[in-house]
Amino acid sequence: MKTQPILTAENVCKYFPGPRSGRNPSLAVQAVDQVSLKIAPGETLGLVGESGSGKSTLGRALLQLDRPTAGKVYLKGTELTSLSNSALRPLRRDMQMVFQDPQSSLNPRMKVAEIIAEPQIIAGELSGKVAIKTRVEELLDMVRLPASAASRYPQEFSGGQRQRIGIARAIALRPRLIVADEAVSSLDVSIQAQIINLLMDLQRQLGFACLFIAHDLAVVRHVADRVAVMFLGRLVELAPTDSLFAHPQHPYTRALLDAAPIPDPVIEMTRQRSAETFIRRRYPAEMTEVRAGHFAAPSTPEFL
Amino acid sequence: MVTDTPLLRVEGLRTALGSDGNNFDVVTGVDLELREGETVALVGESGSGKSVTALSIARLLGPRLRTVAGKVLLNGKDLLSLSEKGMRQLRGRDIAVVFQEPMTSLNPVLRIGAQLAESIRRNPVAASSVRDRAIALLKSVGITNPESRIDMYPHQLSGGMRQRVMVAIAVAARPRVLIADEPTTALDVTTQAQILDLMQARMAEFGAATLLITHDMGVVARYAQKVNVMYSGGIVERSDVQSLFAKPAHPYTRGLLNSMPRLDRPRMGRLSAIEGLPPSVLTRPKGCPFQPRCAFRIDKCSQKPPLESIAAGHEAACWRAREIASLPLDDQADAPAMRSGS
Repeated sequence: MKTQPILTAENVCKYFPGPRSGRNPSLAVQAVDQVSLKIAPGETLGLVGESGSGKSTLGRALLQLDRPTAGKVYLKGTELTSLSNSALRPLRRDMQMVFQDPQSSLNPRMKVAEIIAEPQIIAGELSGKVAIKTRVEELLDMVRLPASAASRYPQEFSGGQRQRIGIARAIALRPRLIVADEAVSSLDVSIQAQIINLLMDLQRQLGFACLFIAHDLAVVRHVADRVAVMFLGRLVELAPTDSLFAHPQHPYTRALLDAAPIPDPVIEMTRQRSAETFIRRRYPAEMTEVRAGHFAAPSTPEFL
Repeated sequence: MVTDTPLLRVEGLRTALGSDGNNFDVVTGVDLELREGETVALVGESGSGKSVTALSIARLLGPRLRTVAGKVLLNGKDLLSLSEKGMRQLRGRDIAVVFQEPMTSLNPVLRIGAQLAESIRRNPVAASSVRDRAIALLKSVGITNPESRIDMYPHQLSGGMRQRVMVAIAVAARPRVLIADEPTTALDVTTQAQILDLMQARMAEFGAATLLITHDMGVVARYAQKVNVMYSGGIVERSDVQSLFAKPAHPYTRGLLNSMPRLDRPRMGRLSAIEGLPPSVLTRPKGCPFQPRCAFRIDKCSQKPPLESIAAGHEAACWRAREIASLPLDDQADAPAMRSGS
């Protein structure tokens, strides 16, 4: 990567007190352990893994929504983990989040206009009735919602439309990085395609980088430039998208690809799937570069 | 193994929302057939009526929904005319259901062994062998350490484990028909594959039929032999699995297949989404319910098209089904078709 990354994570860890850990940090739940990655300007990094693998926790730790236990996070060269909350506040405009469930992430007592104008009003860059109305209409238009949506409440909209509102709020401050945490996972297929297209159009238009967290491999392959695979809190593989799908290295990545059903009965009928898809829970080792830009943790024989 | 007489036949099923006189049809007249040894998929998006169809068949509708017409024939006997007591005797033993959310369908205050035993006892069995049978069942759905897990409560198990228990309970009484309503939707893809593989293996063992309700076309392609595509309360396309995927004849099916990013195809620049939203029961348009979103719409679509045969084993409810089925399945083909149609 020649240009300076938007975001650099170095050995980021997020531990939570475990059932028996007490004050002993070595017994803590290592939700995210020693994760290092970089995201270039305008790049989409896909992050896949099963539930509980730590992908959402990592996303939140990178944005300092939950402070990492250890490690460093740099946003355009500024180290974030050592900053106080108030020192962090002006930097937050550059990193926004789109959540899975727009039902619970949008305030039901606020009108859509208030929801999407709020970030800029708080940042002090938007004031005055006319200016707010103009900006709200502009944002609604960007996410293809009618101007009439402004005076309604989020619960009056369908899931896909609510996700458009969530996206409008996230792009209002023209962030350089958006973390999309399962942003399309709960949507129906036909609506999911609309939202994926919208996110990709906006990214082209506004140039933000994106950490796209999802469990659907086909969706991640479609949107991502590079893909990181997370397992038990660690990255086990990180590679350019085509390389990852053409040459999956780690047994967990292969198990994921193997398990994903292909919507073609002819392929499914003849497909050789490994009979043994059960994976033993063993902490993965550190990744090494196995091909150009393609990092993977070694697949030790005892892993599968 | 597949015989000619259907094990389960649903005829003209109509289930409506609301008290009398104020009926909104959620299921608008559904016909289905399940034969021995078959897995039949019912696909659709949220709100399409697929779960309500399942609940109507098992007579598990909540207070706000009522089946107002139709028949559900299991081995020729109409379930809708049975008394609640008669239905209770049949449920679990002849017809079993696996729901999406195992936490709400398992009893939180009973050990899983007790819940399994209840299902095992639906058939005559020696009391002394119930526990062994329960352990064997847990093992057969891929639960490790079944001897100790059998004494656990549902909250002590992970989501995938709970769903395995649900499958074990459902198959314990060797039902003739299993209705699986999004059985793995909340689970990871690796767990999903394990559970569906196991479920299918168990059902194949005793030649029972499965109605698999899902929104995932990949799951359909892998597990089903026949497919029913549901949209806005009705079945819009029905076919064996091969011709549905090779020659989808309804614009909605076609749209679904075109809008999915796929691991087996080169990456595309842009997904061809179906624009607009599916209608609710309150906003369902007259005529074909898909017409407001349809690229193939013609004037005739203001009349509702019947579900008609377009080829052997392939039916579709669209005035232009034959023409659409003959089109190649790619995005470009839809543009000229749309122009000639409007």
